[in-house]
Amino acid sequence: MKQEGCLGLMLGSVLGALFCMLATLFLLRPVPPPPSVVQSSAITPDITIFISEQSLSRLASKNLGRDTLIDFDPNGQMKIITQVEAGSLQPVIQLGLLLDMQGTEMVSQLRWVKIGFLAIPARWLPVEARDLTVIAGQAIQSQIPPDFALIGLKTTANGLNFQLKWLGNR
Amino acid sequence: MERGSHRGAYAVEQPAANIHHNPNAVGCGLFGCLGGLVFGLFSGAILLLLATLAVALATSLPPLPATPPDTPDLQATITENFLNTFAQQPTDGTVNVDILPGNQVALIGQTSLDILGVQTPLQVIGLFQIHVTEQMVQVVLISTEVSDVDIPSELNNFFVKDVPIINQDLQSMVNQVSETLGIPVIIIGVTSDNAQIQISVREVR
Repeated sequence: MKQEGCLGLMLGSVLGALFCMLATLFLLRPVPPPPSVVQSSAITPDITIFISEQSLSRLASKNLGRDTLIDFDPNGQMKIITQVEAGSLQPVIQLGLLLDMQGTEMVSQLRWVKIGFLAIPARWLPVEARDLTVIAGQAIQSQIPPDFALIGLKTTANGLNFQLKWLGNR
Repeated sequence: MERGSHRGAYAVEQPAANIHHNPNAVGCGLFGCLGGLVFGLFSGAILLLLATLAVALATSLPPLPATPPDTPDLQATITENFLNTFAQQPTDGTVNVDILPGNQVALIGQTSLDILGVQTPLQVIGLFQIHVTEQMVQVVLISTEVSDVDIPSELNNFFVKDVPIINQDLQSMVNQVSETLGIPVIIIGVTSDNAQIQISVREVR
């Protein structure tokens, strides 16, 4: 009994470790690109503003009180790289977000979180964690003057383009 | 002799006797396997989390790359229609802004002048050149044209009083950009075409 039990234990350990490795490979797979997002407006804008990712990184670092790097890619993709405090530790994490528009409001949706070499899809995270990244879009939206409406949004490899329409009395 | 035979017979029968006396050997093996599976999963997950946390701790934040030399930190493109919205309209006429290529802007004023007791409509066009330095955007009046009428002396300065106001507005716009970004900026370029004007600035770091 002891011999069979030990054999079973060893076999089970090997199977368990193999299963873990397969799960790791699954988590390490590249995050699929987001669906194509149509962000340009049919309305002619009054003002178009481009702001570089370097400027936004510096503003984010200043607002968060810690070094933060913002990286944009086309099709509404935004990546935030920063350090978080976990007790006495400060691991580096990456957040993958999708910027989109709902009416005249900018919204940011969390797509994945990467810690170390593991990329965790947002759907595996609790709702509270997903909702925290909404502030990213709100922070950018707050920079738009109240007399203007956001009618278009476009991300490029270098930064972010806004298209604004004036709402004031003409 | 009989004793040895009896011992040999006993030895042959022993494996069969063991099977009959250990019916749970397979069950033990399976139980051990299950325990090993749980142990393997648990320890594998712990090792995985520790490894990824170690990588996250060992990774340093990449440095913020510098803005490429020809890329602005902030760029504003303003349309001619929008500028016309803010053009101050005189009480006795209209003024339209016409953006031209080559960093030029024309202000086209429609007004009327009392000539020998007759209110004569006329068009006054002021042509401005936009000049850019690192700290300022300024407009300079190049010429004033009045269509079909000899220019009365009072119209030579039709747009002169507007120039300082325009320059002041442009400077406060640049200051507001610097204030919004929280860092001094320098103007690296102004370009225009028939419909819009584009101002590019870079942060001073």
